[in-house]
Amino acid sequence: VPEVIVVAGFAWCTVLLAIAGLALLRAPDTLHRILALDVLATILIMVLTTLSYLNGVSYYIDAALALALLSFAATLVAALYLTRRRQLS
Amino acid sequence: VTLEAVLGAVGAVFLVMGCVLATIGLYGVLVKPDIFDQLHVAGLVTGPGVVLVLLASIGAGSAEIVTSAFLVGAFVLVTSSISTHVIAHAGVRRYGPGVAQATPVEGISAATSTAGAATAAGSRTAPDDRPPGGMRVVVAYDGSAPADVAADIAASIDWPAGTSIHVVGAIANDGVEVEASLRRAAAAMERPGIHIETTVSVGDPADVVVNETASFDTDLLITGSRRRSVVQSALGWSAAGDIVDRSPCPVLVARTRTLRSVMLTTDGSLQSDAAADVVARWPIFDLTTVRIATVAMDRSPAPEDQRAVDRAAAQLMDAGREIVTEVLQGRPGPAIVDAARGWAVDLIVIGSRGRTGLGRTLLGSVAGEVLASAPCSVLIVGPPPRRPRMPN
Repeated sequence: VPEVIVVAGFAWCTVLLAIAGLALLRAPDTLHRILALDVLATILIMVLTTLSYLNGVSYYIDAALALALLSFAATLVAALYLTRRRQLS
Repeated sequence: VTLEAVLGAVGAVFLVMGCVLATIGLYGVLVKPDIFDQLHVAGLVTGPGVVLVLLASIGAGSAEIVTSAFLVGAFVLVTSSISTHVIAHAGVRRYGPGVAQATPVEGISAATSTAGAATAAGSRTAPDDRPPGGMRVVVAYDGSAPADVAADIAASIDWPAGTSIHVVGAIANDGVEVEASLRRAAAAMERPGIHIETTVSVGDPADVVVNETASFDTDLLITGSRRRSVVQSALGWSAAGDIVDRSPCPVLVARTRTLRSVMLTTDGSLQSDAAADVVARWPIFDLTTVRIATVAMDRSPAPEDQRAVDRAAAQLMDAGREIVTEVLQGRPGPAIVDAARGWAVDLIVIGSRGRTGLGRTLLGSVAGEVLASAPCSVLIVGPPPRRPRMPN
């Protein structure tokens, strides 16, 4: 992969990460936040992966694997919690 | 042409495509308001977007990177579909399939129940508060138009005799002179039997008002509703919200100039009970008809929803209030706001768990949502243990 494309991809993913943060802050309620957080984690995986290509080392992707695991568990638990819960506020 | 060059080119194409798809998906998440539309477009990010970026590893030329990336890719393919399913499931349980609606459910609750005069005389006990009969009220005043609305509502309410009203102003660093208009606003509240004080302090308005409210052992804080700037609303901040979060007592955010009709929302929680208690006990609600509403989040109202309404109704009927009960459907925040608009009520009374800062950002608050978009005044009541009462 040409160096310039990897650098551009990394930079662009970082921009997307910031935008995903904005989406998280703008989310009107809990369920939207759960989704925004899920998207944010996925974009962070993309950032770590491109960083790994950039430096030619694999451990950033290993970190991404741990992150994917955690964010999956978090999404699952939060969404199930929301499904079971009944209260308004 | 070597194999490496070909793989590099393919990897580059994958990387660019992944970034483009992720951008499209993220844009959709930002602009689509409905959770199900958002799930659809978010699938572009959590599915093809990230997988293409991971597939680009074939151009990286390192076996370690390729192995790790394929592992993550396989994992993401499984988990992203499960995550999407679980979120969609929660969405259906919460809002019902498709677009949320806020329509009163016919026949679920007996439409009207009116408290007889018989209950009024016996069970009405004297408030347990210290000033006999009177209330302690703080009015936040900064000379702005919203603050004038707060002052008007304080002047229009028929306070019980012995009430003391404390009008608090703050001089911020820009040094705007508020003292004269504050005295004028305070003068408009004067009635026989009501004690009025004014204070003007230097400092951040929210700090000044909250400190004054805490030191005054206040029953009710009245504040205006400030319009939010674009940046603030994007980040979910508002000046009134700041005061509401930090106030030790119930806060009335004034948008109307009178309080003729009241809507009490309940969900059967402790903070809802506290809100019902306020409406039942405070003499300022003596002559108003109270609508009690709860929101059923599932497609069909559950027994809990009806029980929540019935409990609040009993509490208010004991106090001799005239009530109407209703079970709404849809997303709690919009459902309450729509109902308030439909019934043209002057005031929404809502309990709040009192979460602040990060907790609110992550977990949401129906009270905050109602406060942000209600067409009328909102009275926010915190959970009961906020201020322990001394037994007499």
